[in-house]
Amino acid sequence: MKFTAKTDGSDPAPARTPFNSSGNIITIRFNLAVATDATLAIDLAGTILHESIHAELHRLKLTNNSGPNPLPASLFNWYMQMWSFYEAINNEDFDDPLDVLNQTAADSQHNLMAFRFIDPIASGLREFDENSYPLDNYKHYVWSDGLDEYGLDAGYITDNELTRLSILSKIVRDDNHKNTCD
Amino acid sequence: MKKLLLIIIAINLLYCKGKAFDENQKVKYYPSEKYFESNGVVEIDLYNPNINFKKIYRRVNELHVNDSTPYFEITHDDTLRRIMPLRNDWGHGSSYNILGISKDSIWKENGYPITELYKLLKKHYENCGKNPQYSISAEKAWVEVELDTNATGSDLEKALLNLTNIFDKLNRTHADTLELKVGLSYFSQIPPPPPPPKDAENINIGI
Ligand SMILES: [Zn+2]
Repeated sequence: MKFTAKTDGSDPAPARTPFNSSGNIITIRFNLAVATDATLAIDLAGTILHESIHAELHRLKLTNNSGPNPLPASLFNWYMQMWSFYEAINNEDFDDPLDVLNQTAADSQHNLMAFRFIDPIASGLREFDENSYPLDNYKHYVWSDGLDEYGLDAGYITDNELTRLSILSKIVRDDNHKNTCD
Repeated sequence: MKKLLLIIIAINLLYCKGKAFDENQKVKYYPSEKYFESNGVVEIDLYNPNINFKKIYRRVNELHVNDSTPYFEITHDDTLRRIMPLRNDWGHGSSYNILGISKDSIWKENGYPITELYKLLKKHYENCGKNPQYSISAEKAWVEVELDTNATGSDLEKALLNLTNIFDKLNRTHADTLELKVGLSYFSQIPPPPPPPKDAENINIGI
């Protein structure tokens, strides 16, 4: 896995992790026009975890769920079912095979993350924040990384719950506790 | 001969409809003029009858991927608007920086009618991180426009005209210092994927 950076004012994504089907290195590319000095450390930490999970899920797809940490079989099978489902749609919608791959990876992985990775990522952010507050105080930072629309569509979360979590997130941001990079 | 001249003038007038540009015409850029200074600016013609919303979405992202800058041109009320849509494909921005709108709705919190666009744009652009569900700063705020995949270029023109008019009204209260960034989407029209396995909720994923 490799981290790189570029500056692109026309791309609102703070980072991208393209699917690389030919090489052994998966690159996470930060966009310095969005991930700026003003970005909260907790947000940046959330982006790093989110993109790293994309990288790991790319690896699991490329290696057919091999170790060191394979997904449980039923979850991997669902991931592959979604992959085929979205690939069929994206083959209709996009000309470039690379666009099909990246869109398919994003759609299937975001569903997987919205279903099963909210708590693990929130737990990583809580640890980063030196376990200052209960887990729910960190979940807004996970959902708002592009997962909320998948969660809402699939019924894993409601608008009211997202609002509740957003209110709980304020204390993490507004307290006097300084994180590395704040 | 006179008849022929009249026909030529008529054809020219028809051809130039919607594209006419006079030197005194006011030009407005969205987000701002600096985004149009790169070499590879490419117009996407909203008046092309063979183009629909999904094709426009694809073209926008293809151009960005190839390091070009796509833009739309809309002429209305003696003002030419040049709008550069953001890249908005498989990557994603932070949800709180996005104000999602469709033809008749605003997607924020539990939803609002499009008639409340001024109020919501103001809240979004002036939020500065206060409410965690709205933009962290005016610089990072943007608007995502979703139309039916079969909507025409004219439908998109109407939506953008309404958005830019209301944004301009807000921007006047900020001495024209705000930048309107717009992205396109048809996310809500993508069918739902197969459901997760029944037992998956309790499976330990080892992290
Ligand atoms: Zn993602």
